[in-house]
Amino acid sequence: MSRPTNSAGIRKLTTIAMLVSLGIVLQIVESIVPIPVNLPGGKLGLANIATVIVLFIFDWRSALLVAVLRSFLGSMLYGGVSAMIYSVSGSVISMAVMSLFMRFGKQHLSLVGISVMGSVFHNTAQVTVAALILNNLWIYSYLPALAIVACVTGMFTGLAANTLVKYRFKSEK
Amino acid sequence: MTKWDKALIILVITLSILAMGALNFFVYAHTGTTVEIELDGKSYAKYELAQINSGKSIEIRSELGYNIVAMSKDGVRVIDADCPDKLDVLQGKINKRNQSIICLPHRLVIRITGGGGETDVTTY
Repeated sequence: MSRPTNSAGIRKLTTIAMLVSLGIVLQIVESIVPIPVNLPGGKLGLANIATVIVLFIFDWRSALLVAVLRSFLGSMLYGGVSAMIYSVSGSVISMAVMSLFMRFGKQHLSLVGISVMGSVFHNTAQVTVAALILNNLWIYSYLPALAIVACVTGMFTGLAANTLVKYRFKSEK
Repeated sequence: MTKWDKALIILVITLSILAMGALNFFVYAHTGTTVEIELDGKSYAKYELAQINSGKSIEIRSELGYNIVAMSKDGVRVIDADCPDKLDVLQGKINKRNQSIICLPHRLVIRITGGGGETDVTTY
């Protein structure tokens, strides 16, 4: 990102910085909150809220920045280096899929549908990384169960993002 | 939430349930006979379930941590591990061919093979 020179640019920079830190905090919070699903990779995905919001109010470039920074810094602070590759790959792929759905389906889909697709592809990316690391394609057999969990968690993050956008960020658009 | 959101969610859930049903019906249809353990993508150990008389447990230790695997005639499970979430312990006992227990942090895969029908998906 180039150095902002006007107040709109500064506003964008601070909003992005704020959302990155929101994402990091949510990532740490969700690793403390236990989820009653005994599946590898089944988690709330709250941190995705930050990416969804940036994607909604700015563009995919800013969202990519948030996705990478959030997962990178979040795993540095909490989770460790081995979790980082899952976190970064998951959030980047999820961001890419969400930006495609946002671009081509914005008139039909709300942030709920977009966030559900993000969650599903977040899990798909993580399963793919696991399959590559473990050199074992059988890990894909967890994907259907993970996709169902992703639908539920993606719905919650989508509803949260919808609400947040409605009340807080309407003026930014 | 629009009707397209709902349609998308229902589509994903339906596909997933169908895939899970297909997995249970075709892939996990037979009881397996062999336990194969892989560590970091490489074969680590192999046991025949029929040859285990009573409970047998082994400790798999690597620089990433340890997992204690318990085997009996009717299946295999992880009874203890020092990974942060202990998902491998939560996954319980498995005994169907092609089922697996995976500990991602320790790069451990425990898989059931052998036995059952004539088609083996792994040969494809």
